[in-house]
Formats: sequence, C-alpha cells, structure tokens
Amino acid sequence: MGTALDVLGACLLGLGLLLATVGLYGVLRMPDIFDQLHAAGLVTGPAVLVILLAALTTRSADIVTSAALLFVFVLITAPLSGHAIARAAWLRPGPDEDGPREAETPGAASLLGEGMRTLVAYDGSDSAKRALELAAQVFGPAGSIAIAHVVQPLGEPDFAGSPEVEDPEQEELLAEARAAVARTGTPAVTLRRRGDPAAELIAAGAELDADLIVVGSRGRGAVASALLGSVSAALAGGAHSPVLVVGPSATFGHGPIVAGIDGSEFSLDAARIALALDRRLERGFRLVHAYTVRPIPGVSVVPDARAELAQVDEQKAEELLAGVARELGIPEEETQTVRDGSEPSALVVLARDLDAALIVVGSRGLGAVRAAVLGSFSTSVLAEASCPVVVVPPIVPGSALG
Amino acid sequence: MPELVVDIAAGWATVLLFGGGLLLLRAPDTLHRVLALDVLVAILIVLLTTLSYLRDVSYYIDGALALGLLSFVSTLVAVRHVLRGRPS
Repeated sequence: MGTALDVLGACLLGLGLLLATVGLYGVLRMPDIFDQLHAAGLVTGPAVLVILLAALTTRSADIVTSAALLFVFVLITAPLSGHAIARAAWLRPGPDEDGPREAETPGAASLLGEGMRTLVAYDGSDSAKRALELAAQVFGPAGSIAIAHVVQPLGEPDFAGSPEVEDPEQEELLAEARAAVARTGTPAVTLRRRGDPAAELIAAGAELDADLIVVGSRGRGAVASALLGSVSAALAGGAHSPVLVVGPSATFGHGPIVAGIDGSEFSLDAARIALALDRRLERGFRLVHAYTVRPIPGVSVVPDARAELAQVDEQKAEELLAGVARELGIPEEETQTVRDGSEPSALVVLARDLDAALIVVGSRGLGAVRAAVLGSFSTSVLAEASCPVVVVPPIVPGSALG
Repeated sequence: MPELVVDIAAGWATVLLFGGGLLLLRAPDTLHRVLALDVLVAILIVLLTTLSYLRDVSYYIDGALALGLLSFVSTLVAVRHVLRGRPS
C-alpha cells in the first residue's frame, strides 16, 4: 500500500512538472499573445492542479487540507485571469498587435458622400418601413442614406461572420428598402451585417461616422423592453451618434424641434445636437425645461405654503432655462418652461400641442434593466411621444453634426 | 513519497523558474509581462508545494495560496490598466 502511494505520488509530480515544462516551452516559443495564453494555461491550470493532487499521497492531514484549499482556488482563478488577459489583448487599443479587432468594411465611409450621413436600420417590419420613409423624406435631401440590415444568427454568433455572407432574405429586404429610398430621389447604400443587432448597428454607425442613426421602435414600455430586449434602447445608451427613434404612431409634425433640458450635462449635449439638427432642417426651435413641483410631506395640506413653494420651483426652473439659453445663444422667445404631473409626459404633451417635428432628449446611458428600475426619462418620452424622438447618448461629443 | 523524487521535483521546478524569468525578460509589452508574471507565480506555487512535501509541513502551501491571491488580483488590475490607461 505504501509503495503504491509513493509511486502514484511520484507519477503525479512527474506529470505536473512535465505539463509545466511543456507549457513554459510553448510560451517561450510562440510569438502571438493568444497562442501564448493557450500554453500558459497549461502551466497555471493543469500543471499546478496535478502537483497539488500529489498531496493526497503525503499522508499528512495538514498538507492535504491546505492543498485542497489551494486546488479550489487555482481551479477558479486560473481560467479567470487567463480570460482577463485574452480580453485585454483583444480589446486593447494600439497598433502593436496584428489581431483583428472588428470586422471592417473598407471604404464604407467614402460610400457616403458629403452632407449629412444618416444610417437607417431596416428589418422589414412596419416601424422600420416608417423609419426609412421618414429618413428618406426628411434627411435624404440634406445628404445621403445608408441602409443596414442585421441578420441575427441563432445560437452562437460566429466570429468569422463577415458582412459578405450571402443571405437571400437579406438581399430581398435590402433591395426593397433601396427601392423605397430611390423613389424619393436620394442615393442610398446598403450594409449587410451579422450578429447582435444593437452592437452591429453601433459598430456600423461608428464605421460610417454617421451623423444620425434612425431606427423604428415597436413601442414597448420600459419593462417589456428590458425583458425582451429593445434595440432602440440599447442604441440610445451606446451609439456614437444621436439616435432617431420612430415609434409605431409617430408622425413628423409641422412645428419646431423641441429640445428637453434639465440642466445636466447630458441634456446640454442634447440641446446642442437639437440646434445642429435645426440648422439642417430649419423647422424652428424650442428649448423646453419640464419640471415638477416637489411634493413635500406635510406642507402640501396648507394651500398657501403650497402655492409659495410652487412659485419658488417655477422661479428656479426659469433661471435654469435662462442660463442654458444664454450659454447656447438661444433667444428668449424660443424657450419655455412647462409644469405637469411628471416631467416626461409634460414634455410630450407640449410637443403634441406644438405639433413638434422632433423631440430631442439626452440619455444617461443606463442599461435597459437599470432604466426600467430607476425610470429613464428618455425611455418614457419614447413610449409616449407622438412624434419621432432623437435620443442623444452620453458618449456623443457635443460637436457632432456641426 | 521517496525524498529523492521530491528533491528532483523541487530542483526541476527551480529550473522552470529560470525559464519563467527568461519569459519575463523577453516580454515586449505590458500584457506579455502580465502573462509572464502569471506563469512565474504558477511555477512558484509548484515550487512551494514540492517544498511543502519535502519538509512535510503545510505552511508553504498556505504561503502559495496568499501568493496566488495576490497574483490574481494584480493580474486583473494590470489588465484594467492596459484597457483603461490607468488604474482607477
């Protein structure tokens, strides 16, 4: 029995050291970090584990206990740190690695000429058709349009999935979309992509350096879109350009562009984008600060005090609006405060009264789930608005659309 | 286990340590250095474990556990640094 254990222990030690040697040799010989990671995984994982297994043959309870602890620890951390390094190697900026970061469509930017570059997401649905129609009518004359269709592969997205993959259904949809745009006399290019729709659209927008991304929305509420996944919500949080969301019942009004502000940086960026859009479209402009009277427990039962507080709030709102208008150089007659039960619906009601062309709001870039829980201003506006809504994601530089 | 076997194992692990050092010296950039340190720590854990078998005490393995924990955390932080520019 004793001899057998000794032999087993020696074998395990030998095997572990062999694995470590082979792995180390591999790391030393291989040129690329991804190949090296594979070999290094052999040293940090299996080699250490096998040698720790040899502890079973030492007949010492202390050693076996400690070794078991370390075994579990290595089992968990070795893959994690390997993955962290691989991820960093894949995502890191800089030209010193030759690994491909993203599928690229060379020359895509040059396909879109001078003027306003609009990217329209198209999936053949009714809301997508409406979005495309609107984009072609409103933004087509000001520049050019790219139509993107994203095929969402079932199951694992394949990394090799190139934009060149032929898909008859995709071709049919894109041909239909191109024909629809051609009727308005606007040049259009088409993009074929595969993968997660929101991620692909964000990437396509960045590649084209699009000034605006246009998507249709199925008009789901906050909770439904958090659960089911909403492309428009994901875009509004992460795109590199403003996102125009066309709801199921949204119509492009004859009135001005309404920009909602609340004094935050996000809303200032949104107002700048709205101004830039107004320069393109020349529809008139209205800077709106929607606010609510803070409910204060106890005070609200005394009518006088309530009125006084409301006045204080109104004054504050006016000051905030005046400050922003001064900063952006907007004349006073184009600004307005509005008060209602809730801020988003006040903005939406005002937009309806003005027959607004567009509503422009900023987004904090919350994820879908957090937005549903915390309440997202942009999401509520999206759900209720009667005209298309431009959501300005937090990472859009203020100078976009210039 | 026969002492001779464990002696040889500890000796060989020391040799591997030199290989790991060579890897660290040859690393061209931060990520390669992080990887090299990861491998070095793994070899050190092997060495400490064999030492523990040799001396028949468990403390070396406890030390190896602490070292592994430190290595894991610093790998994650260093990777973050590579991605974000500075640890924050």
